Amino acid sequence: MTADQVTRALTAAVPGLQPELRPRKVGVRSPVEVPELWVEVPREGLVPAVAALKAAGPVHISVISGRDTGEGIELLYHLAVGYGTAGGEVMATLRVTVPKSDPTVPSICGVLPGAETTEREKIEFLGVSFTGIPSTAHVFLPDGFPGHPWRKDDPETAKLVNRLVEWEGNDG
Amino acid sequence: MGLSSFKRALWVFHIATGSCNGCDIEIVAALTPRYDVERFGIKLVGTPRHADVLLVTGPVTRPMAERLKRVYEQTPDPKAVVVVGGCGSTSGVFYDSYNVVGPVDKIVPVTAYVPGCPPRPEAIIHGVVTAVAKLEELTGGKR
Amino acid sequence: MAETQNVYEIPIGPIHPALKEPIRFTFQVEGERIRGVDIRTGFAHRGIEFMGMKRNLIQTLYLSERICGICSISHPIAITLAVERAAGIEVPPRAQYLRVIYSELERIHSHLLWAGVAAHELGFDTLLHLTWKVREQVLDILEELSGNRIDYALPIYGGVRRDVAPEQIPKVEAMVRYYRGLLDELLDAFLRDPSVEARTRNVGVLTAEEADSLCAVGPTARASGLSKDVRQDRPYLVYGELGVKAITPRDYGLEPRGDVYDKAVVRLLEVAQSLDLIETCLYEMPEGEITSFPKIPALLAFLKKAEGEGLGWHEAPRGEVIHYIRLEAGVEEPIAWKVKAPTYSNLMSWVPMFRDQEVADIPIIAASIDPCICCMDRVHVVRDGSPGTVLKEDLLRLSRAKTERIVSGARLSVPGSRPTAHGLRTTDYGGGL
Repeated sequence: MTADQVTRALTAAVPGLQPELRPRKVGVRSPVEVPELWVEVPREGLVPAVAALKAAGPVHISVISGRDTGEGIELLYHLAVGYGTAGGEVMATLRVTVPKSDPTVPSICGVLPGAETTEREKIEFLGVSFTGIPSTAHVFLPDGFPGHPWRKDDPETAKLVNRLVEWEGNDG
Repeated sequence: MGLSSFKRALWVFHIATGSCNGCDIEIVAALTPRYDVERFGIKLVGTPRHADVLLVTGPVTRPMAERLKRVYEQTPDPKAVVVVGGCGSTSGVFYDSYNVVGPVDKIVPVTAYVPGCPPRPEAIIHGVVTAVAKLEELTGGKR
Repeated sequence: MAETQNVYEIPIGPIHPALKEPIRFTFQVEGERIRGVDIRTGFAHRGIEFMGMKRNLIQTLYLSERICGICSISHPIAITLAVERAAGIEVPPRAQYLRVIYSELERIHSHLLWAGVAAHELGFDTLLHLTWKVREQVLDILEELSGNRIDYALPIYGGVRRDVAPEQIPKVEAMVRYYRGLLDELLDAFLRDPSVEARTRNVGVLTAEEADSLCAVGPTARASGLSKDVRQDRPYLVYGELGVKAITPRDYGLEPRGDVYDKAVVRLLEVAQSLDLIETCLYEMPEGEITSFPKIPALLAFLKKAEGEGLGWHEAPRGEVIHYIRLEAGVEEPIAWKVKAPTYSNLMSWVPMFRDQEVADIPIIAASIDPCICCMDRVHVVRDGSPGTVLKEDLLRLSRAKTERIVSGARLSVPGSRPTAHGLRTTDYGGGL
């Protein structure tokens, strides 16, 4: 798998994408370049983009990371394309930003069933919702946890840190 | 304090309340041939109802607090609680988490602390022995 | 589920330590057979990423080491790679080799730890004590090199904190020789023992297809025949030059079945692979600096000015670890940090592995993905709404009784011999509680 192939697959599936190649030099004696692609994807383009990557080569979802940018929520899908090809994996990161007023993202579980845990985790930590996700049960936080810890504007988590409230979690 | 303070074989129950596994593997290491606590009659048991000593590791996460209390209540008297590791003793690096309610002594009474991240097996054995000696002192040697 | 009235629920846990995710299983069982499993995690959730985003990067590094006491080199390696990428820090060549040496030492200790735990779950405690006795040798070397048995504080942004001194090299070489001499004995004990084979063959099967679609990583995926290893596929440090190959049961001359036996094959062969890597690194390692920032205040000042984002990955003993970090100029703490531990990816693999297996096989199947299960504590059998409790000991006893049954079954084939009484009617278990 090469970065070119991944770029072509992405741009063919979702017109207008502009993947940015950030190669990293690895090694000491005979350094090689390990390709990394970073690309902004509109949320409508997410499922087609992931499906195109899957069609291009075996895809492994490492994790979805995310952060609160202030006005919106940024989700980063870290996907290893060409998974299991010796020296030939391309790490592609799809960046999806959604506004806080409507933090909804389509679930990619239909394409990659292995993404379920990490999507569920984002529901708890960032308060986003995934349309079409098989389960929304909590993974790490107790059920009924009052806040979303990775939101910067979340007063509930801060109260729990400072032990201003005693809250006995219910873990189901 | 020495081997004479062992009035009988000690049965130990280990409960992890959100530890990183570092202390837990050192507890197991204490059981295996290099340290071999079984030669002193110390052994790990599978239920608190059979235990004399509770070995508690971890900073006590929110869901584990209630379970720790329950395990403590299930352990018959007289009993000793030994906290293994820095995070159980003081919350350590996990002091400002929303999901940590420890340290252990906020949840159940503690007889001895074994600091370290993680403590060596020798220290864990010493902690158990210290706790038992203290317990014998408190109960006037009658156990 | 044909007859739902015969399906009972067995919750197991949560008093049981795992890495970031201690777990409660709720099994649906029909007689002795497991029909389904529900997994609940989060009992040891400490909010490490949340805390890391409020601390400076050096403190975050120490926090990353305490994600898992067994992977206390893997997580720091992944976070340092991510930060070095985000901030544009170069790592001196010698430090890259040293990081490989340290992480392979960790792999040896972790795989031996697993082998012992697996033997214990099968009721083969002699083997537990043997493997943990020989494991002390690698802990001695780690202590020699780092100063601590567990939690080594070795990687730091820009390099490593300790070098391997010339006088330490013979000790490491002696350790390599010791394990090489022992390996055949270990392979014998685990792979050529008929009762171990009977308990692990075709138990807890994960097919290659399932492993692929559920995104399994590490030895769990490799035992199913998938040739996936971050060290091989997505080179970092000097792994690309060392020519690491993913180990599957094929390397032992077996067609992969993805069962517990195959997982043992992969892990034991990886011990041998790690020994080779350590030896190669010791000889090939160039002289030179071990860090590009010998002074921590200078490092902190540099990191405070840094801006950018980066990924760092590493093949931990259990599979792929990946860290994402985002730095902003002017703030000391990372503004985003995400950690992915291998068990997080392997979590879903348990579902197909448990399906249609026996209750007595729960301990070994759960342990087979190596979630650091040291303790599976309580089983609650709820029948007609009235709970009865099966303790971990009972579960272990069941597992052991099964081993004995298999062994005595083998003896049965000798004409005239009779099975010995085990004092436990294992076959009655499912309906009898």
